[in-house]
Amino acid sequence: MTPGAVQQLPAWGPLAALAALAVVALSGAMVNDVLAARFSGRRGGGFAPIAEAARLLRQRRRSTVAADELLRRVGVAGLTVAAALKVAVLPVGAWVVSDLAVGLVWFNAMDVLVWAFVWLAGWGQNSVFPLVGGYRFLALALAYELPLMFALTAPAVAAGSLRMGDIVAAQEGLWFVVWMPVAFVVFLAAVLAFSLQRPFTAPMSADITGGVTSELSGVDRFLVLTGRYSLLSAGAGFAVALFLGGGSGPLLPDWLWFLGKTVVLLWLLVALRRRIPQLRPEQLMAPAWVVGLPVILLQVLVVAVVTINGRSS
Amino acid sequence: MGLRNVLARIAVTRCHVFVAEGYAGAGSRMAVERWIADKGWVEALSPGDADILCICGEVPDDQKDAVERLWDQLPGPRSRIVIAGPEHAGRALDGCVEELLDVDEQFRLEAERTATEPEQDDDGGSDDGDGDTHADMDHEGMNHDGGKDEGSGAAQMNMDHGGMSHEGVDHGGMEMPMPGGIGLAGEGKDRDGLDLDALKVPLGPYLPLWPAGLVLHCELQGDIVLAARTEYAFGRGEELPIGGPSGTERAALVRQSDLVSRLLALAGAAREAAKVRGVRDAALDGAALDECRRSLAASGTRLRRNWLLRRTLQGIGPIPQGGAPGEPGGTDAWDRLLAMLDATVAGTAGAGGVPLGLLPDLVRGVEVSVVRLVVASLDLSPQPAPAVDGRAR
Amino acid sequence: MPEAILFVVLAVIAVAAGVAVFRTDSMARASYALAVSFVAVGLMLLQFRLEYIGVITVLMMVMEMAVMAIFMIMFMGMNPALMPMDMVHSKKLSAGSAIGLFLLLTAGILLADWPESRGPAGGDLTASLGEAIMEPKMLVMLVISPVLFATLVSALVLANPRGRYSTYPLVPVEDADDDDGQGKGQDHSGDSAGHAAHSAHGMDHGAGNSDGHGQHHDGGGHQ
Repeated sequence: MTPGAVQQLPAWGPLAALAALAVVALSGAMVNDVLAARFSGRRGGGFAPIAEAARLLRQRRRSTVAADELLRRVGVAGLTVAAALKVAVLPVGAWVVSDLAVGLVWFNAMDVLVWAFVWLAGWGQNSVFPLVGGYRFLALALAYELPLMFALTAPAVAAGSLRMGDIVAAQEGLWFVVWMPVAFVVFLAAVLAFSLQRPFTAPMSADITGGVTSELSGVDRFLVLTGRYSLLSAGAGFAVALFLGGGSGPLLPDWLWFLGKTVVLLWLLVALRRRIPQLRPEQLMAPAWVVGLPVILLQVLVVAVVTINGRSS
Repeated sequence: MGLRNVLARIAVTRCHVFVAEGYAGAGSRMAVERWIADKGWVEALSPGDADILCICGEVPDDQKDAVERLWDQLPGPRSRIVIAGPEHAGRALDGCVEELLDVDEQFRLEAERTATEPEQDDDGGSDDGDGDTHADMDHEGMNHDGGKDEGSGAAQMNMDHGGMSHEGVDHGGMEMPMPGGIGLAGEGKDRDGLDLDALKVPLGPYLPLWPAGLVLHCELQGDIVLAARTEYAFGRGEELPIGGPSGTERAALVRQSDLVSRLLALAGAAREAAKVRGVRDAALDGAALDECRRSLAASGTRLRRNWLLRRTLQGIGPIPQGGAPGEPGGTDAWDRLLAMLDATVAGTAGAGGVPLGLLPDLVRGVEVSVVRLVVASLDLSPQPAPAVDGRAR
Repeated sequence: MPEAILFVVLAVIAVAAGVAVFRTDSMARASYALAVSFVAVGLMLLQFRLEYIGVITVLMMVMEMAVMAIFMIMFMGMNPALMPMDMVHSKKLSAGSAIGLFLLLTAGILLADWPESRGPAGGDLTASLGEAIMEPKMLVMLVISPVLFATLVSALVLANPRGRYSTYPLVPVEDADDDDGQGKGQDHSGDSAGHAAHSAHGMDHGAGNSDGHGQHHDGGGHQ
């Protein structure tokens, strides 16, 4: 297979991608429960996602007075949809559902859609705490989005292309994480942020009684919680493709390597976020823009200089 | 039938319990929390998330309405229990599980509930004191067109909501037909001089991680509290000194570690909160006080190293120096957290609580999450400490 | 043929959503109807094989509408959610000028002498488009982009160093009495707030746009 060539899957491709996303997300949730059980000294664990799903599917949906139903449903369902659309351009080994020439920008566009969805879910419920949660998410999003965009620029500059297949192929010799560690860290932080994980759970935190999820129940809540894990999984997958060499690795087929790396990174993220306390939304803006932006811009400068030298020599 | 039962059996392995603490319910609450943690269940953050409504302690009569409203907000299938003492917690919750497993009964109850919903209309007028949680939105009247009152029209609009459960609706003083019958928020001046909406939101008394019985009537502009007024919902607050001197060292340790774990849980340091809670449970079980103190000292050391938590808590709720006696002057939330831990370790805890009148000044102009952190960092609960050695008050 | 159908569908969605902006009562719905309209336009651009521009349009517009929704709700005063409100004014003049402009532009598009393409459009359309537009000034563009960005960030940092949540003196008590006295006159201030909001809307959109444009230029650095 020539490097950079990815094969677009036929009609069963999207289903396979969705199934893979679901399995990976489920594994992440199970690992979370295993860690929680081990920490609190219970035996077993790992069964929690199934139990939660059963509980939520059994539960009645509720709504609030004068809720904006259309906006609420769009917001609630949107998180999973955004994650599914993201994996549409993710090359699993040499297969991809849609070989978009600007796959990286598509990824960024989808997580900007998350802005809209979380706010809509907060607004649509017509209640104080979800509204506060929705606005908090926008406050966090403004802070992390610009560093994220620059962190995405770095692999694109190094590979000279916005196609995900080309970026994966450009890591043949050396994985990008080795010489773009700052971009990698910023990217992972942004993944935690747009999937509403700690330390960025302010939109859903306990001090606003669950925030965006406080009035949701039943299928709505299930969709939001699934959406969180799906976004985290999709983000982990993209981190592997952008920084960890995609499917490269000896012996095993590349799609297996890709899925393996994604799952391992996902589990690491799940374990990591349990240890970080939560940030208040106003605490992120100043560090992100005043410290984070110059650092990531320096990283992009380094990458650009190295790339131009590499190309000219 | 088979599928429903299977789902029910799987679902009750992880119930979400909304714990509402009533008067003198601290001991029951701690027992319930322990039970929940042991079984791997979850403490619900809001009634919309809960399967079981668990009321710890007793609820005075004027609060029965509020509890009914909480009960209304639980989506089905649901179950409800009142726990009078710590020893009943396990059995009572097991009874709730049985109720939840009874699928046919739950279906019948749900059908009844949906059928009677349109009749169930809250009448307006009770401005405060129902002490509901986030659900109750209390609106100022609008001064828009010189005050035409269309209260009846609004009540009519409330009828048709087709099988959805209501939030608490307050019809105080509306002029024009508002959507859903709720008036819009009144206006208030922002600190920059802008006219922004000011919404009256009461926080408490049945709020998770909140001192029992405390009601903080906030006027929110967005998520910033413009003004606040405190109240004690259980009506007997004047007799009991807030915070109260704890009878024994063990009771003091239990109480302080409860407060510390609450603050840590709100600040997002879930691991530390769980550890401190473990110390609390061990103390309740009768473990050696020295061991508990050692664990707490270790927690204190770990917390001091946690720079992210320090940044979160520093500078919050600063009490100016030299206030009335009984006020921890010159401290902010971080200092108070460390002071609680140190005092417990040294055995000098339980020096009395903080006067309630301090609170409105502390929370003015800060954001909702900071309000929660400030309240959690102060010892405001008027409950008697759980009677561990029989000598606790 | 299917492409033409898709194009027509997207065009209808764009126009319908644009109309919905003015027909709906809720500010949140208005902003997101506008977002839907822009997204439809972005997807149409994808059909022209201008993939980068299409996806960037979707990205920028959704981000802008999310922020604009906040401003619209804040400035529309008393009824950000839901009261029936007449959002158009000076109807005859605006309808007349809109229709006139539409006819003028349509005539221009249909009657203009478009050049014939000299060969199949190949390669990277976005790159060729960018070169055609900016070629002589590419270096200037690339330098302006970070300068603009730095200006935005520094302006924000200077204007509001600690944000809304810093300790800040609250409005003193004597202003509260002032407010009560104005209570009855609030409908007038409400109306003027509504009118002011329209101009504010234009300004916000401009502000939102410039922010988006700044990012667009930085996005140009993607390549």
